[in-house]
Amino acid sequence: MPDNLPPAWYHLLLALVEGERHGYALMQDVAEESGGRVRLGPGTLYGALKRLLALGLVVESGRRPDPLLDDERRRYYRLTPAGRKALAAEAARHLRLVELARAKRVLSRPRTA
Amino acid sequence: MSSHARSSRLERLLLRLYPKEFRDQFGDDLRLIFRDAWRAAGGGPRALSVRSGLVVDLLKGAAVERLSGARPQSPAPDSHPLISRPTMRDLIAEFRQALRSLARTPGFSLAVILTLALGIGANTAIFSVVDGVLLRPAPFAAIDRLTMIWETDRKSGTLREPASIPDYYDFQERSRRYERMAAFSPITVTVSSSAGDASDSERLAGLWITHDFLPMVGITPILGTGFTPEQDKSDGPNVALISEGMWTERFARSASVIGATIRISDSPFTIVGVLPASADFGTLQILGVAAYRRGFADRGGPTRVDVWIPLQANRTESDRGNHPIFVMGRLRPGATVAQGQEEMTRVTADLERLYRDANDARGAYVEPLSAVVFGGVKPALLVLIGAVGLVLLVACANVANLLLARGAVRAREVSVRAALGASVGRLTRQFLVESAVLTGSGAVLGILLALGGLQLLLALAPANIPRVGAVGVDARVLAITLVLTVMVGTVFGLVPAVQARRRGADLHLQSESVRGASAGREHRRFRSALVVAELALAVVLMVGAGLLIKSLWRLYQVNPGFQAEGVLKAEFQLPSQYPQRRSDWPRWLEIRRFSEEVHRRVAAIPGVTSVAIAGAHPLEAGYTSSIVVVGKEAEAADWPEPSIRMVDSGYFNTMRVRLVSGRAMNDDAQAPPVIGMNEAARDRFFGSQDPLGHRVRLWGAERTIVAVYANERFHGLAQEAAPALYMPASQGPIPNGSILVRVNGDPRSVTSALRAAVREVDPTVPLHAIEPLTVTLSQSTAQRRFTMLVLGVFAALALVLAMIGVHGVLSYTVAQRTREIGIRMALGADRQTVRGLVLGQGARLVAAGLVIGLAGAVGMSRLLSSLLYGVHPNDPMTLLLVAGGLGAVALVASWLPARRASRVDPMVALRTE
Repeated sequence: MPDNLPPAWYHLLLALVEGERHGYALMQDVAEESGGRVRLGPGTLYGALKRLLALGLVVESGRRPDPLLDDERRRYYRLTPAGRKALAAEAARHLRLVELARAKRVLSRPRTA
Repeated sequence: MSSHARSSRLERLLLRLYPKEFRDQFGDDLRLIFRDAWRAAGGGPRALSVRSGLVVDLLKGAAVERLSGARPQSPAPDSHPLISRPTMRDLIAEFRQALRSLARTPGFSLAVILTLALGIGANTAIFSVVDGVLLRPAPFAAIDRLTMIWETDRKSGTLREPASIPDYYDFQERSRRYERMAAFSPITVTVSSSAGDASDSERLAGLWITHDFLPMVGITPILGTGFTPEQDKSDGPNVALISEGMWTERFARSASVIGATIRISDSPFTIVGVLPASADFGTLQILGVAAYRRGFADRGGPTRVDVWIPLQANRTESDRGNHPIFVMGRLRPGATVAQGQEEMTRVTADLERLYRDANDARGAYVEPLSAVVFGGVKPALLVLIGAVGLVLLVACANVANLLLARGAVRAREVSVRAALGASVGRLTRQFLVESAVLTGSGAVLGILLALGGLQLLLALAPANIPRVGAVGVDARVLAITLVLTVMVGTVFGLVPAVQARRRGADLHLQSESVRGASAGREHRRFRSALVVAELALAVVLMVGAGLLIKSLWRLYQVNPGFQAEGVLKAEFQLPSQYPQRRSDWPRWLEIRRFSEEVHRRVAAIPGVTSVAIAGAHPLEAGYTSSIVVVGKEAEAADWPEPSIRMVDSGYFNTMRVRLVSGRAMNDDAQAPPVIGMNEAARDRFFGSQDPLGHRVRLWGAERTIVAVYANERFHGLAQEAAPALYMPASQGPIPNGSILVRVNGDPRSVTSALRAAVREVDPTVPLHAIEPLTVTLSQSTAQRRFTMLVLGVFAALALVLAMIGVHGVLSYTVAQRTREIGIRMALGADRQTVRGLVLGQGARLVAAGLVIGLAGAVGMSRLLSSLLYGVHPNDPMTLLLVAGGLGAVALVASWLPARRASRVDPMVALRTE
């Protein structure tokens, strides 16, 4: 399993958790979910997708138009089980890092509601 | 919609940048997304930035895809296991790796960077000077039609004499080829802001000009107006034009300067205009080559013209036998210089017939202005360009050599990494980054060197180089040299990567002796040829510098006829209230009182051993006058005008000028007039005859020659002494000139005491140009020294570069032939033999370089001949010294590789490939 995922990939995989997306939607979701910190343009998006596809974390799931945009047939992508596992592993790693920070009082403990 | 059409064309264009397989796989979808995002940007204010962001993103993606090269399935061993395409972080890492790799071979890296920097810096600095001085268009309009119209004297053989005022008017009226003419004459004036106050007075250079001078040359005032014909009439008003420099310094560039009054040599003048800094273009050079009446151009040291005054010539009352003005003319469009010369020759011949007395043997010499202004410096500057070009060649050759050598050494490393899977693109990228770091550092350092070097050059440059004040770094030259050197660096730096690509990885892995023989030898020959070329170029430069050094040394050996060490000079000019007209002279009591008082007080200053007051100090040409010796009236018509030097009784003692024959001239005012002469005058006017006792008719009296003195070289060390007569101050008081003080110890130490003494005698008399005479003396050799210094620096540079080259080639050879050396040693060769092998190779390189270089130096020495003094261009001692020096330095450079070779452990050598 890979050591760590670059933020762009993490967000891409995360955006696909809820189901398949096409490229443009992925762009928008990533921008929104990262609070604007990770911005993917078409070029960089496809560069990342290409690698994710090559590693088997993501797979193409057919082409069809998006009713909200226009009649053009767009490629859709979805998460593979391997992708889901990689995502979970990465999230867990982040969690471990956060707990370490909390233990050393870098971050305050969450107030239990 | 047009936006759609535009974006789709853009899409297609940008997509083309991606590799084909990418386009096939994702192209269509990419375009869709691009289009969506483009459209979504909308028409608001941020649309432009969003859209350009999209374009940039596509470009980035394309670049990344292209550069990755490697197949995504097999990641390279030395990169992140997951990411096999380069991200920004990767590129930074590669940059750092390149730095580390270069730092591991600091000698090589420094050599390349320094070489590039020196090449770029030196080249840019010198070319900037040459461009600023020679190549830039002159500030005068259509300078190719401007000529000097000198008068000549066939009898004394002089070529560049000033003209008389009546002649000038006749020239104008009788010429058809010239569209107009103008005249000017140099003056030195004391400028102050108010009467009777010497505190802000300065001694400045000025020009009398006719009113049409400025329009003729095409200079317009930056403020106010030029002179009108009314102002140029002989009874015209006291008006003046000032320089931009004076306007800035005295008037803070305020517009109120027009109409303001300044005192010029004690008279009030109204300022009517301000002239730009370029208005005195060529003045120093023109005056510098004139036969006499050079005025301030004689002094040496920075001089700019600060005031212009209308000539206000009186045609009818001017003496045709007196030649105070220089004439410049503008030829009509289409008229050639030759035609101008022809016409002026005719005109002066006519005048000669009409005025047999005044214009006897006077002709004209028409000389293009650009020849006068630039002729003096052109040879030196061209020599410098030659030198710089050579050094640049050497530098580029060195860089190429060093890079090739390193590339060859790393060929192995390249092959190993390629075999392990590193993509060719990656390797290329690595070499590219290394080259970029090297050439980038070299370029930055080079720019700094160019800027600093230029400042240094300008500081050292003699002031009589035209327009030297306005030289700045030439951006074009800088750009060209940068591009050139960067290209060399990149091209040769990439050679190993290119080779790896072409030959395939496996080829390099074979044993070097199997693969390398032919290719290695080619390489070695090419690199050796480069080094031989470098050595040859270094030899040429060294010979040039050596000859110049020897010239200068010879010059310093010349006996100037006087002793400048220990003497302080201070120049003075008595203001107008002292009677100045010649007819008053027996009654110049005030001037005599001034001189005697100053003499007395200065002699009393502690440390002063003797004092003198002279009309001209020993390095001033002074003014000349025609003389007649009683009894030699007929011959005297052919004589050149000797310099008339007014000196007081302390002069010869203070300046340590030797009395050759006769007695000291201590006669007072009442005694019969006496005069002295120098050996040159005696030889010229009397030949082998003894001049003592003869009489000279000068300035309304017959003066008996009572002394002959040794020659003083008042035209400068390089010129033979001209005939001169010495007039005692008791019989012809000195209204302006120099106070010369011989001091025990540092001459400068009495400066303030001297000023105080003169102030006590008369506070309205300021002192100027106070400096030790040795400083004035060194100014006269300033230009030679400058050229020698620059050439010397270049020669040293070239030598250093060539030695780096020799060292590089030999090291490479040793590295290549390690195995062979190992075998030899295993077979019984001792360390000395091996060392001898390497040194022998070095010696062969140096010998070849020397032969070619010396041949080249001999061939090119003609170019230097105009700059040499007392040294033959093919001086054998210099050539020998250079050869010896080169050999010695080369030996040192070869020593290290030779030592390394002798230290080779045969066991290790035989095992390694």
